[in-house]
Amino acid sequence: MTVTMGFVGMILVYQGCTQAQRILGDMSLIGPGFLQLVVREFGPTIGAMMLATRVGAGIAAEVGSMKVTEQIEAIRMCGADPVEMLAAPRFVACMVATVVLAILGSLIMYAIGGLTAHVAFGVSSATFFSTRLVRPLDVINGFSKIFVFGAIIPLVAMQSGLNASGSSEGVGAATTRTVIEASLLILMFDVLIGSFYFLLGQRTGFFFS
Amino acid sequence: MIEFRSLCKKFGTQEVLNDVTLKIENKQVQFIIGMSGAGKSVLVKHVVGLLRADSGEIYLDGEEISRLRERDFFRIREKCGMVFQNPTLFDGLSIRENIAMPLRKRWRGNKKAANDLADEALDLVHMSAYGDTMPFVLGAGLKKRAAIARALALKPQYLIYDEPTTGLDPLNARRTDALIKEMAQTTGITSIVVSHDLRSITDVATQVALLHERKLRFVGTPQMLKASADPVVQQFISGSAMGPIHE
Repeated sequence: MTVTMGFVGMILVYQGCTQAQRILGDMSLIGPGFLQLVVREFGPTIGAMMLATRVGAGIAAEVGSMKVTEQIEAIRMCGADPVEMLAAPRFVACMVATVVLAILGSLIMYAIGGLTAHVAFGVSSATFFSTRLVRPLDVINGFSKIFVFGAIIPLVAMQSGLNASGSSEGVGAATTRTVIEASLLILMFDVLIGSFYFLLGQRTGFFFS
Repeated sequence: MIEFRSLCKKFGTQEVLNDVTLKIENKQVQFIIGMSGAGKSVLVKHVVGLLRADSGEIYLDGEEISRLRERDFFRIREKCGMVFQNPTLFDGLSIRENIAMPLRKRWRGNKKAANDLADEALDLVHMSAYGDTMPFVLGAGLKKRAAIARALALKPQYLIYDEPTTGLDPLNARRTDALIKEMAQTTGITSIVVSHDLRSITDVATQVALLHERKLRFVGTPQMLKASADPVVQQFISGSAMGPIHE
């Protein structure tokens, strides 16, 4: 995941620098602008979408297999609640993983972006690695998304897994459904949370803008 | 005693059980037989609340249980164990931990007491040496026996076996039959066995019920089954492709 985030950072900065060089001839805002985008958009969203395909699909496949091989019914026969027994630990683990991996992925994306700007366009590290455009509201925005996306992935995966039916075909369908639904929900909540903080920033002035 | 009264069940528009009425007396080894997809497993899963009837009633020792809430089924599942068609052992737990799991859930802890009772259950199924073994190391026959031990751990009065010999080689199938018979004799447990294994019926059953086209077609002893003049029963026993039973 971090390798992919690194490549995304490289491509975005390369394209950004190319356009800035052609249109403006000034690349001093590329680094600060890119950091702002990483903090409030790319880090949480791309990181969560990748986790949905990897972790979400894994949870759905595991729980779906347990469902079609009667292990969920066996858990109920043992006097345990399958939702409590399977969902709770996966929910906590997924929340922690999303927070850690989104932060790590964002750092790598930003660092590789800085390296690309320096090697390909000669942007100095002092110019690129500047935090002057990032406001507290951007950080709050980014963390809000990380927590919401971290909850969406296990909830969608558990729901799909527990509703799997039939045999291996049903498990495959649950896995596919998880990736599609979780990705769609992540993008929908990205727009909703982003819009909320945009409006909040406009109302609360420069510090939170 | 378990009693089904006019039980009906549909999955969507597909009717699986229609007006099934059956009484299972205590200390019997009641076989429920029929073609694949006849609704045998569906019928027995109603007893432990894994499926809910659309209409009709189920009585367990005189108590109507078909409308109980999920939470209230916990005590029914202590009284009535189930061995699934798949062994359903949890791969991350040893055989002893698998068997102790329902006990620990019931008592909310007390690992030592749960493990002691798990060892007793393992002893009952002649698997004392396998307590520390992980399930994925075992063959299908031993997994099935471990699953029986787990169902026995709570010392249930009733034990449901869902196709216990399916997927086993003939030797392990007969060993499983012998174990079911032994459990019924030594523990006095009432056994309900879903099967289409004719050899098992002859060797183990004391009562047989045949499900055919969503309804009960025959109820009686294995001897009565063999002597039945019903062409459906005869075709089922003979395994002939020609006759009144269609796909």
